[in-house]
Amino acid sequence: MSAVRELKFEIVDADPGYVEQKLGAELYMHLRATGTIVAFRRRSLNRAFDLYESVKTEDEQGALGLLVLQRAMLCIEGLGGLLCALDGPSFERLVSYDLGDITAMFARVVADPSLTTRLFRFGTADAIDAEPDLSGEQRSALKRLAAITALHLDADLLTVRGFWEASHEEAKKTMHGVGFLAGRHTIEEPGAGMISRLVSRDQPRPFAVPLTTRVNPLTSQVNTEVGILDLRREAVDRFREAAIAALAATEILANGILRGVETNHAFTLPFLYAEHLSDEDQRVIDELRRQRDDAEDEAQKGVG
Amino acid sequence: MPDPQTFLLPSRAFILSQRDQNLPLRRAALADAEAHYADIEKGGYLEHLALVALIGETLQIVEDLGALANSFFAAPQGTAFFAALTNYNSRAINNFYSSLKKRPLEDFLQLLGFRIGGVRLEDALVFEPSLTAAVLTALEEVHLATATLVRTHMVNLANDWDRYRRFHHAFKHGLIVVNPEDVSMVENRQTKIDGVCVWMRKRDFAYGFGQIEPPYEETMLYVVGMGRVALDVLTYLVDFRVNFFDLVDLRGDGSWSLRPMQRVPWLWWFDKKDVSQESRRVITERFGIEFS
Repeated sequence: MSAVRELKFEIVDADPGYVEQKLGAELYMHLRATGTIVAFRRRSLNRAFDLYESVKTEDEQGALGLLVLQRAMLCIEGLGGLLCALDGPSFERLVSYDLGDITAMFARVVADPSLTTRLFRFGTADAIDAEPDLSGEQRSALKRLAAITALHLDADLLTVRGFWEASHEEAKKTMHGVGFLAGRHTIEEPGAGMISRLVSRDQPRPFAVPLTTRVNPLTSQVNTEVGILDLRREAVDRFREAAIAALAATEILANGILRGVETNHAFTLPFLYAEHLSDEDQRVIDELRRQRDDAEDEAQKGVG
Repeated sequence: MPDPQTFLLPSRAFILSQRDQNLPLRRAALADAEAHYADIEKGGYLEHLALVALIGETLQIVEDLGALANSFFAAPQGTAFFAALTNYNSRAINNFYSSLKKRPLEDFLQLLGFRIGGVRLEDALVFEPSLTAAVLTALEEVHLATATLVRTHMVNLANDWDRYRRFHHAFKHGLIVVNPEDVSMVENRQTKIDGVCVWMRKRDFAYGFGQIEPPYEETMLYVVGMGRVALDVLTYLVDFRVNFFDLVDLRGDGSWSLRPMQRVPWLWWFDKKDVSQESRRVITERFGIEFS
């Protein structure tokens, strides 16, 4: 029997027509799963980092540093894939992107702040101005919340992109046959021959040496490129930090879009960073939040 | 003798790195995925995610094994095996496992290092006193028995690869696991069936793929067992190669000399029923080895 499955789902928390128009039903279903996926990835990442911190020998640190790198990559690729899918939006892209698509996407979001706002469907200043039934005080507080949210998100995306540019090719090697030498085997006698010539004897340890071989199709010449991957605690912690930033951005992305679709709003603004606002702005935002919750409770009662 | 600087020393470093860094990475990842599965609350989407993650971590090991074994077969003449391994090709592992069943036992003798370029290792080394016909016959039997066992394990793993690789892809590319709280698998458009399902990659439409039915504990135990077998085979391949390098005193300047042979150069791993008692007796008598 074929294992390709017939799937059935029913959209109950949103207007199905609006979902289809804005996202497509399958992508909507995946977004609803994303919160649990993020929680699972976060726990996996932290488990790997705790393992890394629990070991003492250079070999063990090398091994577990690579495990943290792999799990960080999974978190970051998850965000990249979701961004590719929402830049459309298209479920097909969620299941068909390749690494080049993610490279291009991370480059675009860093280069074009308006793209972040568009992909995350944040309320812009214009959108806030156009929102009815808001006081001037509320509009100002919301605009400042939008600015602070964008600031934090851009910082997260910059961290993610930094990881991607520096490490995604190495990280992928942890999933493709582990094409690394353990650093110590390149600098301890008798070494790794010609590879050792490219590695400083003073290289701080532990580290790994990623190998990438390319074959020139015209000449059949084989060339193996040699890199250095720092696996000391500071470096491994940077992998983890990039992953945490990616998970935070993924949550904001999925929650915001879901909320918009489920409440028929074109834009949303998370309250996540409201604590960074002034006391007065926080008071205004808290009041808005209460009004929103009350309205939703009323609507819920109406449905009941 | 191959060039020490471009071939022997890098190959030795690669094999030792497999032993000291890469295998411990996979052992830790498998144990952690198993523990993570045990830790989570059962009966919901989290359990599906944890099971797919366990499959993913396990198939990483199967992929590593395929990549290493394929590199021994696929490295062009005059090129070290690690160059083939580090020249990533997205189809290489699927092709390797799909063609594995058709490979003759001779290929496994080459893979394990009992034969190098069609020459038996025992014919290339000097033994004092020289090996008798009875010893050579017994060696042939244990080599074949070892190749048979490794072939059996690898063919089983090839079947597992085929069965679970879509879950592995879902794990690696976004953890695209269908949430059963929102989406149901159905048969004949009506009957709901329980099971773990993932979105299929590289499709132009949303297809689900699922063949794991409850109770998931059974699948979990099967997958962990698969991972341990893959680790055993990989460890065996690596340790056998390390054994080879122990035969030679390689120095950083590329000079080398043969070490006095302290032990036999082979590692055997076989089912006792595949080797006669007489052959085991002959080997024990000649090399002082007891079989457990």
